[in-house]
Amino acid sequence: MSSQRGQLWILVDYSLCTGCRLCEIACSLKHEGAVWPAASRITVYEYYPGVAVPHYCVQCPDYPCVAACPTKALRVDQATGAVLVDPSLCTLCAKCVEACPGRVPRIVGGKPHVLICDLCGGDPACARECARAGYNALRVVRRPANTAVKHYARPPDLVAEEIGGSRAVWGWER
Amino acid sequence: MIRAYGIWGRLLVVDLASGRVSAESVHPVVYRMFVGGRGLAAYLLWRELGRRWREVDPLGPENMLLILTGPLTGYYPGIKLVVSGKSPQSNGVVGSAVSSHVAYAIKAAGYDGIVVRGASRDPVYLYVKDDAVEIRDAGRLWGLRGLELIGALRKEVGGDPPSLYIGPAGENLVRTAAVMARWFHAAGYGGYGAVMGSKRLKAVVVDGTGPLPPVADRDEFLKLRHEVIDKVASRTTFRMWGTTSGIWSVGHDTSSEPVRNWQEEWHDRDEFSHVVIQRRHWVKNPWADWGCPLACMKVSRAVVDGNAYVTDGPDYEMGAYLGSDLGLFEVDKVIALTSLADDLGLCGIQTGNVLGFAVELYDRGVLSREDVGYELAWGDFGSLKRLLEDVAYRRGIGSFLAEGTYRAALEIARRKGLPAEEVLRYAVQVKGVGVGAHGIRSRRDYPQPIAYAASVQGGDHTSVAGLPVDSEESEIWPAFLDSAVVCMFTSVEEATMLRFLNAVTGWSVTREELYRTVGPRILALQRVLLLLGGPDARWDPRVHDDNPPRFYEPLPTGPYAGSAVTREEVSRGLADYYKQLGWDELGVPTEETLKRLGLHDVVEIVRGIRRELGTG
Amino acid sequence: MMFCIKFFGNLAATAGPELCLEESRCLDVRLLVEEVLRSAGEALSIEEVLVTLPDGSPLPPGTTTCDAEEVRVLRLFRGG
Repeated sequence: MSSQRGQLWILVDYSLCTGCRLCEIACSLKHEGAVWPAASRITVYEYYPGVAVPHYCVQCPDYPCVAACPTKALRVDQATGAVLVDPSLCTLCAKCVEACPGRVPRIVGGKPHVLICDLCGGDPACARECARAGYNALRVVRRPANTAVKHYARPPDLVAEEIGGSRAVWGWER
Repeated sequence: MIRAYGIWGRLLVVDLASGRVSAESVHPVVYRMFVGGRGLAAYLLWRELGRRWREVDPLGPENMLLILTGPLTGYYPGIKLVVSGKSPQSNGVVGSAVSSHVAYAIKAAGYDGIVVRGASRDPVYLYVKDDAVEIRDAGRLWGLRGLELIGALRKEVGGDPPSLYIGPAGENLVRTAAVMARWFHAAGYGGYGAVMGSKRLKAVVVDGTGPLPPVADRDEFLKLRHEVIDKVASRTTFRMWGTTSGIWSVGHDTSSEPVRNWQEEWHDRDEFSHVVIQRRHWVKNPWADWGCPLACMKVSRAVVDGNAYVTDGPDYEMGAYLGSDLGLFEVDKVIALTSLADDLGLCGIQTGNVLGFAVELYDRGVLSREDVGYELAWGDFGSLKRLLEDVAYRRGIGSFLAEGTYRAALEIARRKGLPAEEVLRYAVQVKGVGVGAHGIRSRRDYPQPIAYAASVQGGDHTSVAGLPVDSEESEIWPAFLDSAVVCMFTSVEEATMLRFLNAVTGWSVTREELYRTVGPRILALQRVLLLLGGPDARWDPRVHDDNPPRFYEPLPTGPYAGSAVTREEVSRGLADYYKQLGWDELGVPTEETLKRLGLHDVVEIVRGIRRELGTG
Repeated sequence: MMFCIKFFGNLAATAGPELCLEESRCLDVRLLVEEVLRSAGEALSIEEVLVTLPDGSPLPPGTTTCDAEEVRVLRLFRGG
């Protein structure tokens, strides 16, 4: 039971991410039963070669998305800490996207509600697939008490700038 | 209506002359017969252009540019896309495979592929966002190199959707130009960058947001998918080194790496090693393309003369063709040339091949300083870099080296008043296609003596012929991988590949069917179109089903010094190979074979080929 | 028990098309194949070859010469 395991969290190591997107495929297979990268709850962006940025909900301690939802379609799963979407209440108003410091929630054609990582109820398929491939860029850990986890919620292009731009090794503009 | 799985049965057709965009259905039976990708390309090209093949100018508006996926694309771990059309190198059909996110994006947009017909008057790019397809002005993009273009395209379309594009080389109709995929991937074999340029199509951007088509047996698919991921992920050494390891071992250990235009195939240069590159130049390793558990790619960076260069690997082929083949053993400079080739949109293999050819001719006094405009020397980075750019922009001597090694040889012979054979003896190409960096003389590498001579894709090292026909040694295997459209580096044993194909498609393709029917069908059609050729190049099997002359010269150095292939073993091998495929003694598919393969409508045109050869 | 290794392509040209052994002990097939390739002077590790059963199906991990009568050995990477 996930409640016995406590709340969990997905820790990223940018340097280990190969940009392979196996996480996206695994996520969409698990949630949508199809290879559907656009409907994956995790997305890898790669603006510079080799600077891969996995982008997903990091469960900010103050959950601004949940607070911003006008229809109460979002709630926190106390067992895992994940944000859960009630499809029957979501109106795709995108207020959660605007409230998210990382603009993480996804709206994609063919899905009648917003898509947010639900931590697979306690066993994230993305991290499992990443480990299966031997990359281990995504690690499932107990949810850190350190509130800096919210610093991971940042738009991917800005994260790429931080990583790529700060490492002199890349040396050229994209 | 037959239910199809793994494919949509729908192609996006874009006519750049009229600006018309439409969707065309392809019957599931066509996929069952030709699988997809390369096989589908052969089918479409035969159907549309086959009867007047000889008159179709590969760089004219009549040619088609095909961008195709296969039934395994997006499902099987790893990613590939096939680019095809009538090749301006071989004048036949080359299935040119490239790693690109565009492959899954096409399927996610609801198509199996994109067919581009006609030519635009002004530069354009194609923007596909699911059902919305636009032919957009590319006036501001024309002339841009790869990296600048990627930046400009991002501003144009917003976000970061996958794209294919050409650099200046493709725009300038250079026959060694590649269709590029971000940043360092190239569909090089075939010369389709020039075809794209002839259509004045700068880029194809595909933003597909839907699901891939459903698979037939979901449980079996999921099980096999993990089975394959586990197998591929356990290739630990290959993951660490990628193909870059070949720059040392293919030369030093197996004596099959081009050195100075194939005058040698062995080297003992400690500084020319992936280990040196790993320590000095890799800034990201492992690095993977979409859906790939292998990660053979690496981001490498070098600073040469104050300029920073970034590329992949360099992978083995780039290391060999923009390194040892040019007598260049300084890995930082090889990275620089590779990065430059990427940016200019040149196929590093074909362009390295023609550069090595030019340097040897210069060395032998066939080409003079006056012809070139500057001095050429083995390993001289400055002049090699200049020559690479001259080819991309067709400047000076680059204007005819840009025609590729075969055509350049004929032109040099004409200008110098020499018999063609005198120049062709230094041209390491087969049927207009420069031979990939895996030699046949030592017999310690994978290509057999007939590998290139019998290939329907000429010198393409990823599509070699071999015996026995009913095994992975024959060209049926790469034809299958390029038609299912999967990466050869993530491929596993044939039984598992076929189970995967059947789980996705709901077909029941057996090993017997693959080697007796499906594979031979694709090869027979490619062979017929290759033999038709034209208008500017034609192949006579008695002359051109052969190795480059150099491969009959004994290796001069290394542990296999003295090794060469003999004409007897090549002709014996060809005869055996043709017979096993149901082709006649000159390698023309027999009527009986064509009928058995369901290629009834090809019979008539093949009678013509046989009449011309005096065998029918 | 007789156990045979069939080599394909250029491996057959150097290691011979077929190698049959009469072995009383049960040897790990992959280790055996690697040893044979090394002694034939092939610069190939086991990661670079495909070892399959005669019908092209995968060789189960840990297969010994007592579990199979014949295997096929091919080069894995045909390109690169």
